[in-house]
Amino acid sequence: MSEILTIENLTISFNQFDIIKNISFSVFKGDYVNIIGPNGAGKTTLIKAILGLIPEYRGNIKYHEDRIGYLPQKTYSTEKIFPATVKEIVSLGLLATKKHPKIITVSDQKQIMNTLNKLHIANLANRRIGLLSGGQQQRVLLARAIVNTPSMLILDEPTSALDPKFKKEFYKLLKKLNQEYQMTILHITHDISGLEDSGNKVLYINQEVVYYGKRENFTISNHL
Amino acid sequence: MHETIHIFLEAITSNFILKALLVGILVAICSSFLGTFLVLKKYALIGDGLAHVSFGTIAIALVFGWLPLVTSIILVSIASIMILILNEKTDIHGDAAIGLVASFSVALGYLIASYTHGFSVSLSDYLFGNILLISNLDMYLSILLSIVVTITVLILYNSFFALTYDEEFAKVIGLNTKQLNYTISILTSLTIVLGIRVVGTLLISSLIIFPTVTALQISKGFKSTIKIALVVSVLSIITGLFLSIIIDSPTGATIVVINGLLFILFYLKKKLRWRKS
Ligand SMILES: Nc1ncnc2c1ncn2[C@@H]1O[C@H](COP(=O)(O)OP(=O)(O)O)[C@@H](O)[C@H]1O
Ligand SMILES: [Mg+2]
Repeated sequence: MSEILTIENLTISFNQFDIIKNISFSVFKGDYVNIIGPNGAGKTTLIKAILGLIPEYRGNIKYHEDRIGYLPQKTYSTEKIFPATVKEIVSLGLLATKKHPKIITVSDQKQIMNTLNKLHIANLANRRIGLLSGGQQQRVLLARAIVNTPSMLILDEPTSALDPKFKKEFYKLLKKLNQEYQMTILHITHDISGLEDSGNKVLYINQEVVYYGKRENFTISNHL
Repeated sequence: MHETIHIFLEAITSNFILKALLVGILVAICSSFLGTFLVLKKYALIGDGLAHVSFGTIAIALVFGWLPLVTSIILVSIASIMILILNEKTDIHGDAAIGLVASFSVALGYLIASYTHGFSVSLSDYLFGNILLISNLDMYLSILLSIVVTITVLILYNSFFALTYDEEFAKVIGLNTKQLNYTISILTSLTIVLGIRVVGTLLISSLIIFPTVTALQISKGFKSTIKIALVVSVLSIITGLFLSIIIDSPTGATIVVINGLLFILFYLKKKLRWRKS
């Protein structure tokens, strides 16, 4: 198995205050890592650093894959007035690997519709995203993250706005992506019940790494 | 073909209405394209800010005897970049950064002018536009600008869309958001400087804002917003220009009022549609 992501002694501070201290861990191709930890533990900051969104940090971040899918943690939803259809939003997920002028082709359109179908939102394809419910919007952003069948998928609390029924389906989908495409998954979650049968690893952070290893060996009671 | 172009240019350079119409339409195209990105990025007031800067630069150009158009293009572009840098490097954001740079430029321009000869040309021409003022140079520059803006928007359309919807995600998919922001700023500067010739300093930001806001009333997607804004923008320039000649009203103000009426029309259309469903 090959290493896809290596973090060495990562320290991130905002205003001289350490948010993340000396974090090191490696992720291998096909790993499905549940990232957990209390609010404000630095989970979002960690993955933003991985995604190259944080310009200043100490330590090393190396990754060896280019196609990354990302579902951000949204504390707000798209404004009602923003003019973008569901299809247009999902098409953004295809731009990373395209050269300018980054044109969306007919086969891209098919791929977009396939993804929407997978997430049961094909009927919303031509609706304005801002007029959808929070859960629907979250599925659209999930579609944007996976439309490119990325080699690494990074999800930041994706289940927060999903209803219980779709949540189950969603975990199934992640499992399938992980197994069928060997997709590496980093999944920040506060949904501890989801830990019972998804993923092979757990990363528990609270500024520092509290636990990193196999999911089976992780016992919640020891840590929470 | 060559002959036709020659006859066309001859007719247009000798007729100020045709010249104004051509420049107006080209500016309308550019401002509606850029307006969609600026309005949705909540940066619409940059149009107003840069127009103020442009006013300041004209004062400076007149005093030093430089070409107003060239001076404005250079200095306004610099100012637009300064606004971006203020945004990035300091705690001064959006509207505050725009306000700072705009008022400083006006003050500086006025100070320099008052120490020397003061303004010798009619201020109102620059405040409200004067289509008689449109020179051949303006016209050639508008043609060039609209070609540049159109090609840039066509090539970078999806990148601009990504940037407008979610700047963070745009970075994640590998777009150089800084460069894209600079590109939009410079193109906006050029559009503002040329647009001032038609509608003036005080009204130019309406060309950036109105078409997009009007289009938003009935559009669903991003592409359709740009298309509708384009049509609204060009339509109001053409109607405004001819109407102002027929009823002998100030051109710039007439164009803006028509933009306003179109907005109300589209707004009512939306309300009616909602009531029906
Ligand atoms: N841009 C920022 N500037 C200053 N502090 C920040 C910034 N982003 C996050 N923080 C702080 O860093 C800490 C960790 O935040 P975050 O990574 O979002 O935690 P989590 O995702 O684990 O809930 C919080 O205390 C938060 O206030
Ligand atoms: Mg978080």
